[in-house]
Amino acid sequence: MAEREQVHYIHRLSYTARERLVGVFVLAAILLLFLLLAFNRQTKDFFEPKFTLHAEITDAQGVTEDTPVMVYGLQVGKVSRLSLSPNNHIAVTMTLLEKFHKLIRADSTAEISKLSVIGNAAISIKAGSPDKPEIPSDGNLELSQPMSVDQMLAQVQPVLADVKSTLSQINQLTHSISPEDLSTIMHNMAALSGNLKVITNQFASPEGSANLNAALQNLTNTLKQAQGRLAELQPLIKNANAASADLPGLMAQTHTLVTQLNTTMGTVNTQLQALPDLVGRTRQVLDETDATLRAVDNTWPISSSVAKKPTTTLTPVQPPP
Amino acid sequence: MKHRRLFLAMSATALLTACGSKPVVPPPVVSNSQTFMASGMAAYDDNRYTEARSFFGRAFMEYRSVDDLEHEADALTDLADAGLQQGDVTAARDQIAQARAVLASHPQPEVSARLRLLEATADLLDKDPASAATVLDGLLNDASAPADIKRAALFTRTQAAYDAKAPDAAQWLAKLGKPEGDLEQARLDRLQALGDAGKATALYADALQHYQAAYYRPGIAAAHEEWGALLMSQQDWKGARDHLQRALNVRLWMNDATRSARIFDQLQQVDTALGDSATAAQDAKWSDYLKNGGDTTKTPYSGSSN
Repeated sequence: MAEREQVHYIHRLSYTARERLVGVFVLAAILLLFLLLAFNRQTKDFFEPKFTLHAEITDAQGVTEDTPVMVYGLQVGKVSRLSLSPNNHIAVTMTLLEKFHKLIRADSTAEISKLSVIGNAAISIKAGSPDKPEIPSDGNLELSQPMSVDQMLAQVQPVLADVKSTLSQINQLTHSISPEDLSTIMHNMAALSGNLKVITNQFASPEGSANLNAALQNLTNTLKQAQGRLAELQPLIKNANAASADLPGLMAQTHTLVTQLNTTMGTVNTQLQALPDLVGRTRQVLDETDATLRAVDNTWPISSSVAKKPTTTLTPVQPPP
Repeated sequence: MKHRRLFLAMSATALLTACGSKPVVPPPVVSNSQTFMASGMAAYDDNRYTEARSFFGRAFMEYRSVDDLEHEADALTDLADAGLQQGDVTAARDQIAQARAVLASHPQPEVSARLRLLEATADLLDKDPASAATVLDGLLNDASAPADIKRAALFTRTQAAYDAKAPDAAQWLAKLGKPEGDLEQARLDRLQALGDAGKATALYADALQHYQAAYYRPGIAAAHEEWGALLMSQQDWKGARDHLQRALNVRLWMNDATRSARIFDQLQQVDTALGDSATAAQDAKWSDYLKNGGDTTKTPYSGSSN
């Protein structure tokens, strides 16, 4: 009886039923595959009708097979092949969706995206006029290329030449100051020194020298007082020097201590933040443990050997000492 | 075989489950107050009175938070009792007054009788044996007072009679009859020593032995203190110093500032008599320090319970 129950149900099915079951599985797998192909982004256009166009370029500039082909910003196809043409150019074959064919007319032009220089290559086709005929499949399309880096540098070259020329002109200008102008400047300097001489003579006169002597006397007194103050400051300066000698070391130690303190406080803060949570959880665990222990206490034979807590709330009466 | 084991295991589990009962988890306030009370009692039994007062105080706050007047009175009584064990008469009297106020609206005869006993003890500590005798006489004549409180009151009344040097002291001593247990025996020995100087030394030795058997620190300290006082009266200064010092060690451990200060005063007299004026000056200094609210843990010889 027991052995009969252990036989797999498949052995109890008829041959026809088994065949049908296998067929269901196979069909389900095929259906699944078809659905995957139909709804996958990469393969959804697999069964769409397409047409091809050809173009020639002299520099691929990042264009590869699978480079998208755009019209009005929509991807309408991709580059399907790159090869060499008989005249040693690069032949580009583009495969486009048939439903966009009507946009590609005889006056349509194509260009490689300007961003292809930095790797984001794409071919953009300008839609043609509706009154022009469609370019047939396997037809040729004019494809223009953006400037390469070398071409850009070639355009910058003349500008650099202009800058060089301007600098040269400035240099020439500085050498074109005339000696007459220099002579005038020297003349003005001589007049200035004459004025200085007059001022010096005024100082040399009796009134001037008296004023000067008084001023010098005041200066002498002031200097003496300053000297006295400096003498008083000398010990203080010595102490300050002695103290300041240790200062860099102290500052370095203080800096180290402050850094260590900051680190420690950071750690302590983190720990402190975790502490209330920890205490709360510990409390919960203790409460649960307490409940468990109470349950164990109430279970025979433990209950008979564990003394009950005294419930008295008054201290025992003893003869006062 | 396999099924039989399973059956046995399930049967054992069922049996154990049947033998148990669902634990009753009390509300936190009840659980907390019970824990505080139990911790306070444990500390009190081990003579750690500072700790006991702390726990009784916390239990009192729990009871008060739920307006449990009955247990509030109990906690206040415990606080007063532990306070008196440390010689803190001021705090004890305050707690006795609070407990009386609670009992005014919720009378509990047992607690009321206990408060009268504590009040008499406070009077003895304040050196007022007359007042203590009055309170105790009323308590002893109260028919509703519990027997154990009356028994303790009789010991205290006898002490009051000896402190007051009353002529009926011996009669009170005779009323004590046969002691029960180490503590009663030791207390009786000490009271007998007060009335019989000839046997005092032997009686104090016996009392000390009983107190040490019970690990009862207040009794050990009291026995040494009284023994030291006896030797002082006999001018046995060296012996007196030994007993007083041992009494002081115990009192300081219990953070009993009042009695410690009293012992420092006695030590000052002894050290002066021994000619050690430097130590006598130190004794006087520490006595003043404790009388002015000083911390017992800051004194020499302190090995505090806290």
